[in-house]
Amino acid sequence: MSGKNDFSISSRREGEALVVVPAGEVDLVTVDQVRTHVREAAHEAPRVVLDLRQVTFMDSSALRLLVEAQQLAEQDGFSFAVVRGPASLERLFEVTGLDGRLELHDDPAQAADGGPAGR
Amino acid sequence: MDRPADSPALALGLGLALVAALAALDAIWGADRLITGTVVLGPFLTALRGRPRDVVLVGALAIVAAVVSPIWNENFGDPDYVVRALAVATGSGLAGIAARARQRIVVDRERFRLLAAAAELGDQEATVEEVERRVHDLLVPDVADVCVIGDGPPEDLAALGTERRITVELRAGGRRIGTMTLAVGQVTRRRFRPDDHDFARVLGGRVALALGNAGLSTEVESLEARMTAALGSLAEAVTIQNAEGRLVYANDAAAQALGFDTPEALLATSPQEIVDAYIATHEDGTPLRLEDLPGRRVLAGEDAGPVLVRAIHRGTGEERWRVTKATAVHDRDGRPVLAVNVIEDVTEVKRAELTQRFLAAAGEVLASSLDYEETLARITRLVVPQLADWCSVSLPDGSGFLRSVAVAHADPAKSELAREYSQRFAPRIADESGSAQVLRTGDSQVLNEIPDALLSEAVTDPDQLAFLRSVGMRAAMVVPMVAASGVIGTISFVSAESGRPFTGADVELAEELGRRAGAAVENARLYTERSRIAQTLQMSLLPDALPEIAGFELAALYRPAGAESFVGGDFYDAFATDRGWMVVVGDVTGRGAEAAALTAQARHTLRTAGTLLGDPVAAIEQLNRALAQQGDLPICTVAAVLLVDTPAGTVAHISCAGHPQPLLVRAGAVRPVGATGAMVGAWADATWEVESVPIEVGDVLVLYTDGVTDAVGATGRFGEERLVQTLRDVDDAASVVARVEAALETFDRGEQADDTAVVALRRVR
Repeated sequence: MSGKNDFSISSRREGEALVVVPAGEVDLVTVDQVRTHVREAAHEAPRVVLDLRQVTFMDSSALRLLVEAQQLAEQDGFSFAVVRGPASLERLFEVTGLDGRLELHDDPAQAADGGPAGR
Repeated sequence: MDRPADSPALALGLGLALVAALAALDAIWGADRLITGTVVLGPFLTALRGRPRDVVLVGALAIVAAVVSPIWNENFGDPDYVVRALAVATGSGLAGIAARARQRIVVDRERFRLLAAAAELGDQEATVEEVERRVHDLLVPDVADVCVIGDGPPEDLAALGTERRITVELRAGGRRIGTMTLAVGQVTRRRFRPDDHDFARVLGGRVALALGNAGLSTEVESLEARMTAALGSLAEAVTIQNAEGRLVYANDAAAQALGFDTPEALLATSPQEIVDAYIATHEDGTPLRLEDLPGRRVLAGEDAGPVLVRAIHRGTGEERWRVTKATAVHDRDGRPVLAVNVIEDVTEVKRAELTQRFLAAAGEVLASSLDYEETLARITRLVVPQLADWCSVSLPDGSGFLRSVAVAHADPAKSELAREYSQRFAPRIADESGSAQVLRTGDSQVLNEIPDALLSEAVTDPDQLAFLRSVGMRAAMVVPMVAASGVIGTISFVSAESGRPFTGADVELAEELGRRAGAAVENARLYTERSRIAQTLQMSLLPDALPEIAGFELAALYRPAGAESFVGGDFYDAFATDRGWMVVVGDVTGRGAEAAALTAQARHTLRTAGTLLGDPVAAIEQLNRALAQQGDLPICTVAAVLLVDTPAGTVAHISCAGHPQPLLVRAGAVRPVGATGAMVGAWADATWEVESVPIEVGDVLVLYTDGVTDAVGATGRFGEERLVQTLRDVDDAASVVARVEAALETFDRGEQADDTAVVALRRVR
């Protein structure tokens, strides 16, 4: 079984933004790691990008984190954007209404620059 | 020794007088034969008592008289005269020999007497100085003029020759102990001859013996005195037993340890009396027998190691721990004749050790279980008999009495009686004194003397008084059980048969036990209480039984994740509204108590709003408004279905807020239905819609939570596709639940990670 044991996460700088790249499944077990990375990135850069291209699964706790990150961005004054993940995640975003609420990008470079959001 | 008759001067005088008288008579009367014969007698008379030299003198005189007498007897030249002269000369000579022989006998007798006297010197227990004085008195003036015992001859005598000085070495016990010097010529005109030297040597041997013994016993005495002083000053108690087991020596420490003022008082008491004053046991409580003591055993020739004894004085009740070690003293044949016992008081150390062990054991017992009544019972069994004969733990029972919850007695036969007593005569919490007072004030109470007057005054009930009298309480102590919230109970200790009063150290230990037990009981209760609360709350959160919905059959599956919870973050509900029945399924993010609380809130808000508004969207919006205001981002997902009967048929108005769409199974095919929208509680301005779907007879509508599709298995996640497959061709509500359950069972790998809920409805008419 893949998933929990295969999770990893890293961050990299791209211009002014810090890009957080989780890989694998983000669920109740691993969501705290993503949370920590995002919060730390928020301290170090004015723009945080969460790149979901390598995420294979997200559960409700992961979705909650996205809402949380966005609210935190509004509170603390940094900007937050998400790079779209695989198709399954897309559907999830649709069903939960996240697609209309998050700044979504297809391309990380674009996301880092803070280009036009959404579709 | 000097008898006038032995006086040599007298003898000489008599002899001379006789010879002179006879010579004169001879000259006057001329009876020469008679005179001659008689003149011969003169020397013999002297010889009887006089010295040989005096005899010779008298003899010479007699011979002279004999020779001279013919001059006046006109017999000169007669052959007669020659014979007469010869007779006198021979007689004188023989007298001289006789005198010498006699003198030797006298000297030998004298020497024998001296030796005998010297031998007696050695038998007396005199000091060295005394012996020297006696030797001097014995030998001076009979043997010598001067007698000096020292180390070598004194300077002023050293120059004298062997005629005037004899010096002999004194040896005793193989050692040279000095010299004895005898000298003559200072007072008398005596001289020493070789046999005097020989005699002096023999005498010297005796003197040396006497001196050696005198010195020895002094040495022994002072050694003994030093040893006694050393033993006396030891802090350890030392006693010495003889072969019969009787004490022959005890130092001060031993006397005090055994309760006597002086060692003499101790030695004067019989061993049986000494032993009977105590209750003595081994560490394990078995009684101590006299033959267990190492002193007796080493006297019997056995090897004996140290013995630890616990001794309680019958009179004072004082308890002391002592270690006794014994060593044997053997005689020349290797038989034990004495046993030396060293007794060390280890009471403090032992008490500390026992206290630690007790507290450690008590700690283990208290930590072992949350069933506090059981642990308290075990605690009372620990206390008895080590600390007390009888122990009871009491807690307020809520109706004004302090009830015993655990009782133990050192004698198991009496445990039952003790329990009965505790049940029957439980004190009222309102009582002024006793345990009730300890409960109120938190102060321990100790009574080390319980006279009958005190008992009868304190106890009014005659049965209770009779019981207490029969127990034979010697001492009693009650300590509070103290917890963080205060005094929650009491522990009572009674000392009866063992007769032991409670010392300050005992009270401290009991109070420490009271604190630990109090804390343990309170923790156990809090835990139990909390568990009960959690359980009660959870029970209240469980979904109600599904109602009967006219025209439908319903089934539900509800499986919270986690072993100990009854309720998780999933919920479902079905309730009647003005417009028709509403069925909801929801999923709160997260798990645990917070999730359960949110679950309750969501469920009840939806029910209330749904019932009032009769509209799924309105209900969701209402919930959203309530949640979005809360600061902790309480997010949940909901799928709500309103079943409305119309003349055309039943229509389901379905709205999903962030939730998987319900699945409609019609004629074997499965498709998702319902309008989708945002999760609830995330955005205050979110909106939702409904999708209206006709429900025909035979249709099965399945609402579920992502616990189903997110379930983890060997090949990945369960997923929507697999669920669809599972539900294909399902034809009643119960089968839905059964199939999903079975599929999950087969699929699941590891523990269920997420709450799972499924509600199935089938239209039957």
